[in-house]
Amino acid sequence: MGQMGDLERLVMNRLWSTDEALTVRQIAEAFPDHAYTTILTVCDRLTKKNFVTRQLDGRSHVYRPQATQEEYVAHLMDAALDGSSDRAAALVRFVNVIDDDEIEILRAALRRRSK
Amino acid sequence: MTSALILLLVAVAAAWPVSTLLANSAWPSRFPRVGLLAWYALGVVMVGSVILGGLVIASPRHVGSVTLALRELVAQWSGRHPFSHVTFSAAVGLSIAVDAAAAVVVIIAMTALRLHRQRSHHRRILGVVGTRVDRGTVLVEYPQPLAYFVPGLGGRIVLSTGMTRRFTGAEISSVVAHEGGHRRGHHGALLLPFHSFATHFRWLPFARLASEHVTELVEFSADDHAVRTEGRGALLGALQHMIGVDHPTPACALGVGGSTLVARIERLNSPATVAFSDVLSVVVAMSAVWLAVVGVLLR
Repeated sequence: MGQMGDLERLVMNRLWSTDEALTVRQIAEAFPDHAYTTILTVCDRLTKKNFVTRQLDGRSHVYRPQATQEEYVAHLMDAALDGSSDRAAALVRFVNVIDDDEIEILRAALRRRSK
Repeated sequence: MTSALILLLVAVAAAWPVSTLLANSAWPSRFPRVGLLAWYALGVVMVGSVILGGLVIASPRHVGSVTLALRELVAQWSGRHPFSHVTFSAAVGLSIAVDAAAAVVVIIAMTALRLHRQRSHHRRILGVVGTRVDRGTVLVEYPQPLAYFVPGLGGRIVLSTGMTRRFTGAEISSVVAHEGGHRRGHHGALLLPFHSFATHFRWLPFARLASEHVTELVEFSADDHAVRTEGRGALLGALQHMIGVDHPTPACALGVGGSTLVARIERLNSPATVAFSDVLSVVVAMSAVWLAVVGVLLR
């Protein structure tokens, strides 16, 4: 998993770095240390995992990300910050979500104590 | 019938008054792991009493002793014609026992499956957007300070860059130690039955109280782990950073009720007020009562 996982992330980063859809050959150019077939496998896996879409452009397939990197991060952080839904049960957070009022009370209390 | 009644009373007591008593006790916050054990024991006693009570009712002869009743029941069901004289009360008793056992198994399995799916989905996305710091820690580019643990096989500690850029090295270590405490303590698996009870048996006082308190106790336990490895100051600093307070808190209680965060800071600030002997006496008393009940039932 380890090395393949890293490669998946790197290929995603390559796809995110451009607005165009790329062919496997174009992606592979960024990874001279890896064989063309390896990159092809990675693209295949990313397609199966729904991270990229594959389309036929002329005679070759082109790949583009399903969503932007920011959208994926926002999706994760949404789950991490969501205190109400049952999604929250899937994670154990360092600090649970606290609303602004509570934060104000806490700050005020800490300020008072430190005087 | 008396034994069934006693078992029913034990189940009701565990589900309601004893749960309230445990929820209102101060000692579990000092000894979170003993507290977790107490909540677990209460749940087992509650479910166990219902199942045992059902089986006693299902027994063909109504005898005082639970062991005798169970022996009669086994004898009947392993006999040649188990269905020949099934009475109405036997059917009711059996359905109580089977339903209770099945309900608990099914809701825990369902919750486990749902959480597993959510966590796998979360880990998959982490795999492409997060940078691996080491085997179990992932860094995500995000402006808000954030840290959490994704339990399960291949559990991950997730840190945001908003946190790593703002926190000192010691504070980051302490946050990682806290999340590591969740990992070492298998808190994801530990919370599972309580999460499923809270979702499916909302009407049960035990379900609501246990899930609320166990979630808090797990945080306390992880805090203890962080304090042991990285020290109290670093953890307090990290917690205060989380709410945007940059100066140290003097060693006194905050006196603000409400969130777990307040309770955690308060706990780290005030010295232990409960002696271990107090906890011991509670545990001994609880075990004594339970042993007495079991003794009466198994006589």
